[in-house]
Amino acid sequence: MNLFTVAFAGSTVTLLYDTKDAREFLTLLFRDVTQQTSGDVQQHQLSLLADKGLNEYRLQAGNTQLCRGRLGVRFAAHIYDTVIFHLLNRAENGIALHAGAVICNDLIILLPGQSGAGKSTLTSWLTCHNCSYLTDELIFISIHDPREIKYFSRPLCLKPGSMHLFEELLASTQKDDFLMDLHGAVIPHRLLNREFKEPQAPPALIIMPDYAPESDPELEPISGARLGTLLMGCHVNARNLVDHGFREVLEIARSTPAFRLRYNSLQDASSLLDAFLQE
Amino acid sequence: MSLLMDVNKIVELKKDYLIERIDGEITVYHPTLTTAVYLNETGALIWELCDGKRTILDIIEALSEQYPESRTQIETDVKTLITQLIERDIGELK
Repeated sequence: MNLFTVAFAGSTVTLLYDTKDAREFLTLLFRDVTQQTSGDVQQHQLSLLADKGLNEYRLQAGNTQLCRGRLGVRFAAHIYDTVIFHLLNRAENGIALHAGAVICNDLIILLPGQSGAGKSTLTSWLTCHNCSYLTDELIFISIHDPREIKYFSRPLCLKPGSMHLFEELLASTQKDDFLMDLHGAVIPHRLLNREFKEPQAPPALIIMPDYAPESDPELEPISGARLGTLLMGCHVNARNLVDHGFREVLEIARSTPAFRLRYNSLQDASSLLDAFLQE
Repeated sequence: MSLLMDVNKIVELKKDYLIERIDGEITVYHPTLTTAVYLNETGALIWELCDGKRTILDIIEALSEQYPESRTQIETDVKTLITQLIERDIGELK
């Protein structure tokens, strides 16, 4: 048995695995989230075990099976959910937010939103259009220094409806370098960000995506109080923090310019942002 | 809840909420309920008047004194906000 450790936000989760395919799968999913630092707290241990006869794998916590399936997109989603849960379950040194993040025109832009808000799709689109990818899912802001942010830089995780964005890239890429099936695709961001490096600067801007197919596209400023309310809805580890991290989240809202991006197509979203960032 | 409410009732806010004021607006958060509410400038004014002693009518009258030309809008805004606070379980009518 071998060990694979995922490290993020001061926590680690270790996965025991028993095959080469499992190692390659875990490396695909977590390549950029393995850098441990002293002081990291081991939160949980999981196992990714092969059912060789069935060509399936079991994700287990101890003797409890959490999910089972082939090493595909859906199974990857289960692994992400489980690992992220355990990484953040007791995390108390920062604010974890559901958010995408990209670098556009040298500015770090956060794209917070709850599940289904469109942040992953918008993040993917921006990554294809002259922005550098940081994460499509999660950021962790240090409670001691809000300028210190960690990005959960997993591969881009696309639902079937968004895969056309990467049609050209996928057609020209070795099939072993990414994961694709009926449930979507998992695309290592390094296929797009060849010079990937975690940034040290704080975010310059927050954009709240608001996909509204019946509405005209619009980019409107959001006030600090409104932003604070919205960010509390994206706050993942609130219960671990004093007063649920409310003061810290509101301080972020107070100090970071924010806009709501209402869009009915990705082209509109991109055009609005392009025009705004040029100003 | 409709806006047809007894304006002689008092709005009592639940305890243990947290608030932050930014540029004349307010974010209210209740940790136990994990509920966050945004109050724009008008909502912030109304919130400040919900002191557990004023009736809804008192609040409407107080704001109408400051903005006499907007009484109808004030009445709607006050009732809308109070409805929102009750629906979010941050306030109740006594």
